[in-house]
Amino acid sequence: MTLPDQLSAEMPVRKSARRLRWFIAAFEEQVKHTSNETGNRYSVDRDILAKVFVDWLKAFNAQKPTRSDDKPAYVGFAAGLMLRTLIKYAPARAVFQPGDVDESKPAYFWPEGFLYVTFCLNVRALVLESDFHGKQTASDLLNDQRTWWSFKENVDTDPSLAIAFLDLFAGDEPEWTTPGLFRSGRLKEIARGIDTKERLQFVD
Amino acid sequence: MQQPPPLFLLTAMQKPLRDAMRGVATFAEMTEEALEPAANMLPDPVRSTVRSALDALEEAGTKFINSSIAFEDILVASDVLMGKESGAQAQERCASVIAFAWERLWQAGKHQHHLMISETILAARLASKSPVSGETPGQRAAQLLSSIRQSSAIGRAPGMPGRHTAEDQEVIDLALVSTMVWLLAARAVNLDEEERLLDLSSALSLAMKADIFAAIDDPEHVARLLPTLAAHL
Repeated sequence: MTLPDQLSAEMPVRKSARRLRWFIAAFEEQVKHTSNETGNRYSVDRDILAKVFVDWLKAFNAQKPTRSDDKPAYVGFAAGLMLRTLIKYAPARAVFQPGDVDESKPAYFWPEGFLYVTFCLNVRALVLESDFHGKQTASDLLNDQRTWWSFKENVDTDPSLAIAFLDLFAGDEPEWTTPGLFRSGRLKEIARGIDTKERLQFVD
Repeated sequence: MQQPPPLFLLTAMQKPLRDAMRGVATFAEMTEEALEPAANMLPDPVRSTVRSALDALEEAGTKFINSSIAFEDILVASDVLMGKESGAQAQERCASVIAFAWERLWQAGKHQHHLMISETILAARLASKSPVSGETPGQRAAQLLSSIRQSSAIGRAPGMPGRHTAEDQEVIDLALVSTMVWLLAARAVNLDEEERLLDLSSALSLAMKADIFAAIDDPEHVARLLPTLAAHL
């Protein structure tokens, strides 16, 4: 899928993503793409999506790291925060599902959850790739029915576990005990493949 | 063959006349609502006649006031709000843009119809506050916001029943902040995109309403909040 580019050539994607216009355009693009791929149809409430954005931005700023070294890992954490917020506010609703589908597949088992996860993974991958020259390798668990069942059950009880599950889906090591807390200095798997010089030179 | 006379351009109407037509549209809609309980007691032909008359009045008023603005007007309004422009003509264009935003938010159901905006008073308020040297765009916008809030530029239409309530004020504050944030933000590429951006600004302000209401009476706080919101629009 094609998510919107940064808002201007000078602005990195991670900064564009902190603007509501980019965020909503990207989410709507994801809805279109997921609908085309799965046959599901969604209705989206923009006012609720704006609440998601504001809530996410506050959570994002609350733990934003100051160390340049932490920033690539924070991309993964911020994407997890986004997933948590989307699940909490539920801005999208599946209004149509094609008949005769395999309901064990994530897209049909939990259409809204599937939409949110793919959106967060796509934004995460885009920021890592464009701003940090990193690469995201999604886990096979992204298509595993049991993992999705556990994901849905667990986030219903503790929404912060969405952050750990997104790490799992992204092929990173999840932090299950305190998933809502970003740990400074944690050099995660997410930083794999990112050129060290690039990372050190990065200044927000 | 005789050519038909040129069409009168409604958008060229003077501000006071547009304000008067806003009053007509508001009056018609409010009257229809006020008569709703009694309407059921009237025989159908009378009820239909009254309703049609009020609908026609409302439609006529609405048609006349639907301000049409150009993309360039938004650029000028943005400059006025940031203190880069202070000429009388620019202030009048800025007033038209604010009225346009108010009407668009109204049509989107973001606020109630018993509240009315006066472009004439708006333009006067914009003219009453000259930019101060060294003022930041946020400070300038906060000054203008405060000046408009303290005026009768937006409020209950004259002759309408009821008093100005705290709820009315919240509606006005949210609409004004949405408009200011929109005008302070990075510009879109054309008018359609600008209208979409205004809708997003309204959604953003609604999502931030607790913070906005907490700050609204403190110009210094508003001067910090408006550019922050604009940067995230």
